[in-house]
Amino acid sequence: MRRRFRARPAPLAATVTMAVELGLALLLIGALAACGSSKPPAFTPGGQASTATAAAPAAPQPSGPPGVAMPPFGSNTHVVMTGWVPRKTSLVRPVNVDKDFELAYLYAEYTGGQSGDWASYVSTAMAQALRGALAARSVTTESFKGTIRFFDMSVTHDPKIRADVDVSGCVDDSRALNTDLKTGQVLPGQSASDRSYYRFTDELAPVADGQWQVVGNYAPVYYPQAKECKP
Amino acid sequence: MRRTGWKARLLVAGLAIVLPVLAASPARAGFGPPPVTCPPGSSCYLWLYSHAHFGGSHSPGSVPIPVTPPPCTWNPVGNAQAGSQYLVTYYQDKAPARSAPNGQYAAYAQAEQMLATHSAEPGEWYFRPDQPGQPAVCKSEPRWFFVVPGEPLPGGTLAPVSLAQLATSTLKIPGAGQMILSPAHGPTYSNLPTFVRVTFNRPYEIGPGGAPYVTDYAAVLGAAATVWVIAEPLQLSTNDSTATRYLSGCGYLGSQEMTLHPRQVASTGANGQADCGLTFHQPGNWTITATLNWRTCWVPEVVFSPPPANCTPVPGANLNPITWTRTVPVHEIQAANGG
Repeated sequence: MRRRFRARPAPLAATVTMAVELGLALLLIGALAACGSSKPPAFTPGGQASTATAAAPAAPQPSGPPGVAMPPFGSNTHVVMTGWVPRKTSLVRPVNVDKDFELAYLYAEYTGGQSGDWASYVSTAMAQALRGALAARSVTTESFKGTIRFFDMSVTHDPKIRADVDVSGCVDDSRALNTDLKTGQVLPGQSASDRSYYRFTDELAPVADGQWQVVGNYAPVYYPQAKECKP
Repeated sequence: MRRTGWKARLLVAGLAIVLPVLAASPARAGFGPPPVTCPPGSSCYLWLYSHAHFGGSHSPGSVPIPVTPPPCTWNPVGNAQAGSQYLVTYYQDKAPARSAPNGQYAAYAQAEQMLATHSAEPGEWYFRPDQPGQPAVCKSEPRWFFVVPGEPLPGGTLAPVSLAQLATSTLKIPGAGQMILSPAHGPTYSNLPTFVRVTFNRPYEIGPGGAPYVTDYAAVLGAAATVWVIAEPLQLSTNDSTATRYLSGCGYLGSQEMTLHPRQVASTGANGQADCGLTFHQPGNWTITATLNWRTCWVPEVVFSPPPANCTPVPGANLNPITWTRTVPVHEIQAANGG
């Protein structure tokens, strides 16, 4: 089980202060502890330094369901990933990989295309396609805030490639708003529409060592065709 | 739902699509689903590959480039049982009106029958979602379709640019073969020029100006594309920043003098020059790296010729360069000077 972005690193200043008080031995321990728990801080659109690695004010780190890596969205953004997993044990892993991918791709959009963690979940060819999409100006200049929910997930074997699985789920982003990446200001002219509710389907293939990789995706199905995706 | 005459409609659809159609959702600012792709390794790609005809030697997924999906997209929803249940549930267990467009009533009836008879017929149900910007031809296709193994989905005809990407993805592009040096094991002494020539590890053809290339075409009913992957001139580099590089005669595969005038090359002494190579001026173990980039181009028809002059690059085909490396020992300059 991988867990990334979960625990906040100990504040460096506090670590150093404690080390001075407690002596050289504890300084070493504190430094090691700080290194060992190094995690990227929350990204803050419109923050002083809008990069994925920029320092950010202390904020509670978001958490996802077990086995899923929740990226460090800022405190004004709430991403809810369903805790559903299939009963069949062998399908749990690909479902969680797909959850990781969906969250990582959303986080890449959140950071204006700067975060590249999503690439570790996809095939080389898939990465090439998505990299181009994330480089679009409309992505690199914008972020978002609000609430995005992933729910109603399911998994089936792919009809064409039986070793692959198709993971599907609903997204409700009706309570999220696009923002300017630099200023953090909400962009004008936005309102929830049928396109705020959609079903995605990703195809995952088994790769070496029991791992899974997203190798393709199907066209999203929007409400009202995906009626189950509008709560 | 079974229909007749779909092949005829496919032909019409294919002929109607003369411009690249991007079925992928536009890049959405802020947040939104990833764009739809059809990369090698996916069932979409495999489906396209199995329904296209190719020229020359080809292998699926040789080059990892994404392919623009077919204009009418289909999502699998399950087999005769699971898919039928999904379909019936979609209508909340109430049959759509007989007049509902896109054969919805017939599909519902077929699904109900499959459930009632506990059908285990091989195949899958597919749902066709409406997509922004989809060609008008898609809207006349059925909403649901049960596909038996080997049967194509309606409206799956590809735009020529997709066929170009598909053909590119199947090309067996040459890789690095050998790096041949003269002197054979490197310069031996500083100030003695080293000629460099490289080879590929698989066959290729020679185009205008001597550029190596490989070509292939892909065709489906009503559309086709021919692609060429063409070598760019060879680049030489070394980790010795003081070395002198000679690139004027490198062409695409390095020193031509090594093949045209091997005796003169062998007798080139200290302070001579190579048509393609390097001269090291200090002792050490230095690495010579040769790099060759590829460019692509395509035309929307089947062509049996070298790459044409005015040819459009294949979208998304950012091919990795190939590199050759060798480490050569360079001895003291005094030895070369007889000191």
